[in-house]
Amino acid sequence: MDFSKYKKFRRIYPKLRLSWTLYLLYIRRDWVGIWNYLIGSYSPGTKSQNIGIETHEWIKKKGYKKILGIDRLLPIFELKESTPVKQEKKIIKDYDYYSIVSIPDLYTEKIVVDWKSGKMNGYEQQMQLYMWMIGKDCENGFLVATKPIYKGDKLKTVQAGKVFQYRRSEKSDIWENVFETIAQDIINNLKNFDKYLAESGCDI
Amino acid sequence: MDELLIKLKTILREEDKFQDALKNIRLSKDAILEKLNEMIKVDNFANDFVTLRKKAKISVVNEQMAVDFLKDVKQIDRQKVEDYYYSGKEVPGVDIELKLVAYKKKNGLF
Repeated sequence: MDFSKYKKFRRIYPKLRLSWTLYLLYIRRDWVGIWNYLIGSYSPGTKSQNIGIETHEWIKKKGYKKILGIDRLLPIFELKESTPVKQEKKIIKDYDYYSIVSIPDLYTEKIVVDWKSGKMNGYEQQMQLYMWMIGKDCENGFLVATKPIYKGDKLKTVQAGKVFQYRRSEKSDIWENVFETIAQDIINNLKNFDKYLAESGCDI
Repeated sequence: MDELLIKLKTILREEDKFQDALKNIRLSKDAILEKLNEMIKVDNFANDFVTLRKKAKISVVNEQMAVDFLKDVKQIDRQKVEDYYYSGKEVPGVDIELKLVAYKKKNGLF
């Protein structure tokens, strides 16, 4: 598949770049959202999204060990001092004409952790996707509720709350088919994408 | 009518049998959940066929102690007690008992 026509969009050229965010838009059949995602259109986040971003940045900068209440979690994650961990490191699975990209908050070969500062429900599939992206030895995904604590306007610290654990699904290989379907469907709809670009006054 | 009453008797017997069987199944389930409760260290665990959620039962043993600890409250805020618990702290004067509840995922059972 030749995407050279869309050279200026890094999420299309040289390959389609698929992710959890795109998957969510796809299952909602939100094609405008899909086109906006692919062209990298920026939309300002909601207040709670911005709090989430600030919380994630704090954890990344200070390190996950600085989270209040992390001591309860480390034995659950089976993380030792010597265990090599990756924080917000991009994982890419490459296929012929598309790539799948994930950036988990924290992971090893065996576990993946995602910090959530909002609601905790509705993320099981995201954890399943991350486990599949990391590899077959990744058997457990953990969602950790994180509460930012402010002093005035300044984020002082982050406190851990409830922990949800997801075992790797026996059907995890289904993600390959899911993303293949999404990629095919996007390609089949490129005419609509061109129309969307023309209507929004966006040059190719 | 007599014929219907005989049928009803059979049905009631069957119903009784199933109720007894269901009672035994629930007892077995509770025993397994009690063992799992000790083993599962997270607040919510899920795999392909089940979600196991820990529900907190909060009992106030010493109200004044708890109110003094929580500060700025006139009565015990259960959500605050839970928040403290999940961040690894305990509120004095309050007991928390966690019970595991199972939610089936029907697609994963077969």
